[in-house]
Amino acid sequence: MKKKRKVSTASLQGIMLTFVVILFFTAVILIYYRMLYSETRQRIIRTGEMNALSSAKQIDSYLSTGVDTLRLACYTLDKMIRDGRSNEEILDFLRNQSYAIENITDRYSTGLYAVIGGTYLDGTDWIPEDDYVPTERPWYIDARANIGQVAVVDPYLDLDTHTIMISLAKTLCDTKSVAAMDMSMEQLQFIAEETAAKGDSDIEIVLNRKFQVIAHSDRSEVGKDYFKESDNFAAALVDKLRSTDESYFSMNYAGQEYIVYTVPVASDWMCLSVVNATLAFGQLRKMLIFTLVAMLLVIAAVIIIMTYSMRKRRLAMELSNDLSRAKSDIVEKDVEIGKISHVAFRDALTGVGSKAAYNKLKDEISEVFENGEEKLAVMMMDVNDLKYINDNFGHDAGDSYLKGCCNLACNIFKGSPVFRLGGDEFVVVLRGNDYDDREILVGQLEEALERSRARKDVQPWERYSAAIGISEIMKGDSGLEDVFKRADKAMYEAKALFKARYGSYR
Amino acid sequence: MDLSKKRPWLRKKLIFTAMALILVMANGCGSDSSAKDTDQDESLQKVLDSGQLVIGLDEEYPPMGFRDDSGEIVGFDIDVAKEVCNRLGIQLVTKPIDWSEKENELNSGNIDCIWNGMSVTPERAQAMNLSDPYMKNELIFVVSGNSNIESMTDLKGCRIGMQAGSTTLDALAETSLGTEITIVEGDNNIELYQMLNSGSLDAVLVDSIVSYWYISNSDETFYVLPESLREETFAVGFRKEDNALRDRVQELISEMKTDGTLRGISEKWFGSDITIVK
Repeated sequence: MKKKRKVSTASLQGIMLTFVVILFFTAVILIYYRMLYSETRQRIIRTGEMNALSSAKQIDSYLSTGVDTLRLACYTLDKMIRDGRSNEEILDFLRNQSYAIENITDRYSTGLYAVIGGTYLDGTDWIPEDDYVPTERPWYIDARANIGQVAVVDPYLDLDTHTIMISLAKTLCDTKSVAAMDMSMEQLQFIAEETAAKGDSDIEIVLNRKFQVIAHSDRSEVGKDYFKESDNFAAALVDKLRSTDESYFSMNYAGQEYIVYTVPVASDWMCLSVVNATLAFGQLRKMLIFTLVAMLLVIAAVIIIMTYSMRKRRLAMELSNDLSRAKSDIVEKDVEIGKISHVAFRDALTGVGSKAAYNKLKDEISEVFENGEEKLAVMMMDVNDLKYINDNFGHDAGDSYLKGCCNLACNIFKGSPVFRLGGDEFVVVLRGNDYDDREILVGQLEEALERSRARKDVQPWERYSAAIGISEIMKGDSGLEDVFKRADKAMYEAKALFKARYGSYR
Repeated sequence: MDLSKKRPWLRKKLIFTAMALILVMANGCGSDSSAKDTDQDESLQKVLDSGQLVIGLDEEYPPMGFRDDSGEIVGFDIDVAKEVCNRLGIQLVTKPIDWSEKENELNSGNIDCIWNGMSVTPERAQAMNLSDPYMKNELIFVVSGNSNIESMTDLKGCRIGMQAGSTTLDALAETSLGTEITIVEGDNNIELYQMLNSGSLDAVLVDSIVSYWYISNSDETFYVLPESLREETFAVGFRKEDNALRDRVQELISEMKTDGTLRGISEKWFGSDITIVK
């Protein structure tokens, strides 16, 4: 349970880190995109400004030709009125001027006409209809309402030439007489169409202050009154133009973003350069989406690889954990088994080898008998009077008595294994040095036993006594058992001797 | 993954950086919301509460604001101001003022705004809260029918009349002509025309808008010199701090442009739409 929680914390940290990494890269990409975006935007605005300015310059120069021509003619007309010249003289002047104007303006204007002292005079030789009332015409009214200025009268569509015409009109010195000239806007239309065709902008528009279309890169728009439009691009454009003082702005229409650059021309007209930014930004957006997708793919790939390798590592770790656990289990079992075997191979009371241990040794030692060269002896020891001690002094005393006897043997045969075969019977297997010194050692043990038995100063169970028999390996012996039997026999002889000497007990 | 375990500070730093970046972007991406002054001034509410808008005007300034034959103050500006008041649901109060004292009248609170063909100048734009310009005007020289003066060069040494407190004085001062003539100040444009008629002036420097009206309605002959001194625009002037009132009035004038009311008023007084409201 605890382990599981640890794993989930780690994976939570992983998720957090992944999230932060994704956030970081997204932020970096978005900031980069933002920079590109504003860069592109700036470029569009600069292009728009350049377009509008260059168009405006051409339009200004075109219109100023007309305005200057009219002003010049008005100077002379003012003078003629002040000098009291006749209408015939003035008409002559208008005709002469019209000839010049026609040529100066590349025939974009036909010439001058005027109302002088209430009489209509036309230098272009146009003969008005009978119902033509010049003082009710817009050119006359507008000029009079704009004393001192050259009025740019609302455009109208010339049905003969299918071009937009405007009138330039100005009051003369008496403020009741007005001179005017018409100009075709075909030249402006040409400028607008050219600019858009070059691809520098998407839409080029020239509007007057009433938002009437003087020129438009789309010829079919020319002559429209954008102020009266509703629910279309033109209406949206007018709304924006009316609500901003900026020279450029962006507007959204039908899901597209347009950047509009405006330059004032001819005092109260404006030249608009419109660029569809959505098209320009579309490319950029595509790039952004591509970059983001690529980034997410890379991150996803990294996560997958990392998760995979982590899982593998975890598996390997779990496996090695299992292994080491198994190993330690085995070791534990071994220790356990060792303990058990220790118990099995030790005599619980005296701590010397058990009967099982003796049997094991007997098996292990069997090869010794096959080559028959081993120096080996078996000493048997049978404790005397154990039953007597047990019966008279209790089993604890008996146990102590047995241990004491055993200790005597162990102290003397230090280099040899001692076994308790059961009850009061012990056997010592002598090899090496102990074998070589067996006579001496057996003598020492007999002496020690005799001394202990003879003591009067200690408790009866502390007076150790045992019968001993010893036998060496002999030619023809097939196993330890043969040597053991001889030693046993020798021991019984010694016991019989002991009994004969000391009786059943002291 | 070790990164997160061994160096928590790095993780925190990463989170912090990411958050900071996002914040920066959020700021950057934020649409450019118009930073319109939202601290409410009381100017509009005061006018609405009092139920009237008091405009200061020169009552002899046709056709923008003047007394008609019955003595009632009428004019283009009056019609526009009336319509604005209608739309605000209040009464228009016209208050004739001494034109040369117009700034004092405004700042003392005697009037709520100056609305009478007031020309825009940098000084006025500094001292007042001006509306968007709504009409153009030319400063023109007018002489009487029997005058020999035919151009500006003929004006040297002449007595020229102009309105006290008007922009004509500043405009003239900017030209070389200013030192070569005798300036005679009059209270209003009509008085100047009367002085011109009586022969006490050789010429007047007046607004084209007034001249159009005066000459059209006069039996006398006047001549306008071909050169005009400068072009100006008209605007309504409010107290510098009266943003709320100024913005609301401007909004209504634009609304009138949209629905054609403004065009109608202009055609009534000038025969055509000569307003320049956006």
